Amino acid sequence: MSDHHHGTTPPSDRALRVRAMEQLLIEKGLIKEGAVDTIIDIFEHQLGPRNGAKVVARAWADPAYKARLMTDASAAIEEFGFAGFQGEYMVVCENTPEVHNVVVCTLCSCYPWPVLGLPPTWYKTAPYRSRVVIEPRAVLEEFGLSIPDDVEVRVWDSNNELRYLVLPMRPEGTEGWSEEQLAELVTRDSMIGTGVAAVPAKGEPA
Amino acid sequence: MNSIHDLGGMHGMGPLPFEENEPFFHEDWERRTLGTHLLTLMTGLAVADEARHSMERIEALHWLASPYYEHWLDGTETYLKEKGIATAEELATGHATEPLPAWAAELSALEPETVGRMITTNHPVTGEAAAAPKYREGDRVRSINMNPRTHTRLPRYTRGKPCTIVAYRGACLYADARSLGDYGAVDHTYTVRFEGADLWGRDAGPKDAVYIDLYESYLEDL
Repeated sequence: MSDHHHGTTPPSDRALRVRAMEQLLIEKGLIKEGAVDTIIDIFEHQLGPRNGAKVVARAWADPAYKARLMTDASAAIEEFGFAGFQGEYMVVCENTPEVHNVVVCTLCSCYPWPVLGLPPTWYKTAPYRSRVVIEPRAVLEEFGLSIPDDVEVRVWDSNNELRYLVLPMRPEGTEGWSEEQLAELVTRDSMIGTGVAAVPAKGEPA
Repeated sequence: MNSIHDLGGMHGMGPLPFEENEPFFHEDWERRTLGTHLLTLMTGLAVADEARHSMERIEALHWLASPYYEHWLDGTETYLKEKGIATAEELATGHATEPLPAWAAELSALEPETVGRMITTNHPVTGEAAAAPKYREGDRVRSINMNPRTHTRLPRYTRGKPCTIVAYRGACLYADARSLGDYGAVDHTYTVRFEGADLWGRDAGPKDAVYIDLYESYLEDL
């Protein structure tokens, strides 16, 4: 590149670098103005754990739906209109009194976008990815989750095309609740397996 | 390749970075990096496996010290340069001076509305394999030991270990070959179960297991 940079400061800053890349690809006719904003809007407003919570709540409330979800998760999830990148081949892992499931991607950051959106920072970075396969119980303790020794911990390392959603156990005391009420108890972490569903406060809802 | 991205089983990576009510993005350049990177893939400039391999080749010290989306930014710049789509100078200035290679010149930029539909539509991740699958649920097998310098989805901690076939998942897109330009490649994929003790010996937890999806080419008879 010799002294091609005469008189300009090479971008040292990440913001400048990504702006330059986007601008260059627009100039080359490979992307259109506005397309990046469309993507950002989808990820910030359309995808997220509220989608997954609806799936879980229906699985709790409707045994026929749960059966479909456990047989062909992608199709059952698409009943809600949730589909697309990183959710094409979904598998649901059901937590039981005997088995606790937890999901990771040790090689990168594979995560089921249509139902959970983009992953939290801890999911994408070295501390979680390195440790959860070798000492899952210690990692789960740091999330406030204590798994008894007689419960099997299954760590799902999503490395291929399949993406995993954990079906947490339905909390006690929620008999007769509507799907909307149940969905309120379903946290993001309970669908990754680093948490469990929230326990309803006594007496709510009527 | 055996680089810093292959983290499973390591110690010493520091505390979990918990954050209450974490936003999807912390800074605006992260948003634009996600969007621009995904658009390059959607336009057909690269496949995800090439992108992952570009990120794996980031030097370890820089990888560890840089934020997550900088890996995407670095990786995207790498494959744009390697595939002849952009020069370092063009990426620095944001202005085009070089023509596109013929294959890239034939691609068309996606309309924003098309982009939205593509992201939220399921696309096939399996194909037709030439031969029938070799293994069945319940078979005891072993993951192979290999250490390629190229892209692989067989993590180091799972190499050369006995495991059990839990489910056959169809012939999934074969990442190792796709990262090398064989974009249509598929390979039979199985969910396998590794017992904790087979991976970690006496340091395994009381009842721990790892489930992972392995290509048939990663497996051999036990």
